[in-house]
Amino acid sequence: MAQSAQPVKKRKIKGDGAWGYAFIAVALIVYALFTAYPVFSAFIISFQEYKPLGSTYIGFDNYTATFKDDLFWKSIKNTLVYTVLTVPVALLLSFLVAIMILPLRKKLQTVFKAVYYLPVVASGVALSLVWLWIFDPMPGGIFNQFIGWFGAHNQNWLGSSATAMFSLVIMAWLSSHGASIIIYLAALLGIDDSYYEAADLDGASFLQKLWHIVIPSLKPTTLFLLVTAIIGSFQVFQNAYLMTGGGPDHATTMVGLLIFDNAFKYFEFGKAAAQSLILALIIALVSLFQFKFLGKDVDY
Amino acid sequence: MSLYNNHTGSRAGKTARNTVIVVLLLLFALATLFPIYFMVISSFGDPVEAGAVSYSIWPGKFTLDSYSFFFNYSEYSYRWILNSTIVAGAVTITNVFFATLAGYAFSKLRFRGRGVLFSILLAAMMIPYQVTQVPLYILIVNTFHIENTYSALILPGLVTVYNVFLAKQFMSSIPTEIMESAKVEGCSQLQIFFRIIMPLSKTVMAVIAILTFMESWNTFFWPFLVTNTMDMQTIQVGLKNFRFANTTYFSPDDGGRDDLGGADVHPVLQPAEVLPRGRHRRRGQGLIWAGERKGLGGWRCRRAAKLRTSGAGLRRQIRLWR
Repeated sequence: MAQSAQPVKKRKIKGDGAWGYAFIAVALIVYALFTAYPVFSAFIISFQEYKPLGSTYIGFDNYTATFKDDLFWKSIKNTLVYTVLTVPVALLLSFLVAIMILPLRKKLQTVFKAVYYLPVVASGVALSLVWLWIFDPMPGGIFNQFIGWFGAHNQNWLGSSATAMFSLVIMAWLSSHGASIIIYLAALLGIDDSYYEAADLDGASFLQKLWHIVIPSLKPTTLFLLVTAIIGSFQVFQNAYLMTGGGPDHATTMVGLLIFDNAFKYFEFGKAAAQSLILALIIALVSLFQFKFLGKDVDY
Repeated sequence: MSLYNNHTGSRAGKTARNTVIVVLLLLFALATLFPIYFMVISSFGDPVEAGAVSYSIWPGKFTLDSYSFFFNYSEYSYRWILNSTIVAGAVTITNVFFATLAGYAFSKLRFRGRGVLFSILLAAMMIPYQVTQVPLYILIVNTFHIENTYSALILPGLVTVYNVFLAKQFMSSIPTEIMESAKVEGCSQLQIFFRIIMPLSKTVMAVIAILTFMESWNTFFWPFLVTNTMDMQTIQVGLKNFRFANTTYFSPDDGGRDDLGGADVHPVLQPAEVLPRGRHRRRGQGLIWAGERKGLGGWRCRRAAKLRTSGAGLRRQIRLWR
């Protein structure tokens, strides 16, 4: 029975081609106007010195200027540091939480899923405002009170170049794992019980089951989360912009923020476009690399 | 049998294990929820308290002063919430409708270039938004001259590729036979869409609606770029006026920290929570059949659809398809 279902499902309705085009028309127009054209336009702008009335073609100047710009390399470095510090920890935390939620009763599972999802629902701007209070440099600031219990001196968290990046990292650690926890949990529930049964018969321990069944089974999920998290992390803008504005001394200037500054603070649209295309290229390469080397034995 | 040994070992051991787990989960939840908790309790404290030298993490007193502070803060406080509602509402409606429409065409209709067009759409999901932001801004401001209008806020988000993709994935699981038989009974494509596809796709439409509304309500960057007067700002941009690292853009003079309230943060949280999240659960095959039984209706194909979906013979056939 299952075999006969395959060819049937693949079938599509014929003879309604015109309707097909009509149905996708709006999506295509919006896409062409607000995505395809801007991407195309970004290429052109990146070779120009942009002026509202007639831009001038300057060849690769925007690119060479970018590669000579120390700030650009610093922002790349900052972005990498931020990504390396936040993404693995976020994935590990989500995985551990999902594993711990798994054995609980259905009701309790739902409660925890909701609790962990809540920060995702909350507005990023509002949360940034709260984190500003938490990182208040005064001794009365919440984080300073907290480390005070352990006898540490209070820090100027966001105001000093030594701790500003670390503060943003802490903020990322303690927020919005909700989506990945839920995805991990769904994948965990999808693992066939027969694997565990076989493992139980062989007398496998909890950790052995975790290592030999769960982690391999979750590899596609982990790959997906890793790729999307890294892409997201490379584009990070809002927290840095709202919390530190890129400072102090550009210690938290990420690539996303640098592009924004170039575009909408200094109105160097050409340079911003060139940098954004470089960023897109880096993201594409990193994603490709991950699929190639981590996705070897992943089935889709 | 599962990852955890639920059947072996003592009952007490299992209870102890789960207790430890719950305690650990609660501790981590406490850490992640602390900012939200702090936001809520300080919103009920005195307006000055949150900006004072010392922060108390325990709720001291209960007052709604901060909320009235927010609404008195600027004459546009209500306007920001209204703007956000208009923009997020419009974007949600158009996304649900057009994404479903396009998803149906991409999954079930046959037309030239379908595969190529869909791959082109998908390719867009890999492009970081930084690439499009500058040209998009130029397009809206210098070409269309619609900055600072609702059009500028709504149009670029009219329908997103991600939602089309979601809809297409979901609709691939609807048996094509239902549409074919509807066609045989004389339904036009529009009727098929409105009478069969939409009722069967309520789940994915709910998911699209929730995600889009949340996303649009919480978005900061685009409204921040294209609005330049307080009366057109959305709540997220409006919030920025209160206190941030660089309030150089359109910042009011009285935005100093001493008169900063806590309540301003909280209204932003609510509407996204109000939407029915439970609908997430209604995913999957079972729903298709439930929706099919009661969702179809209307006119010429109503009778046909009824015959198709309530007949025991067809049920058997459907079971075969699965």
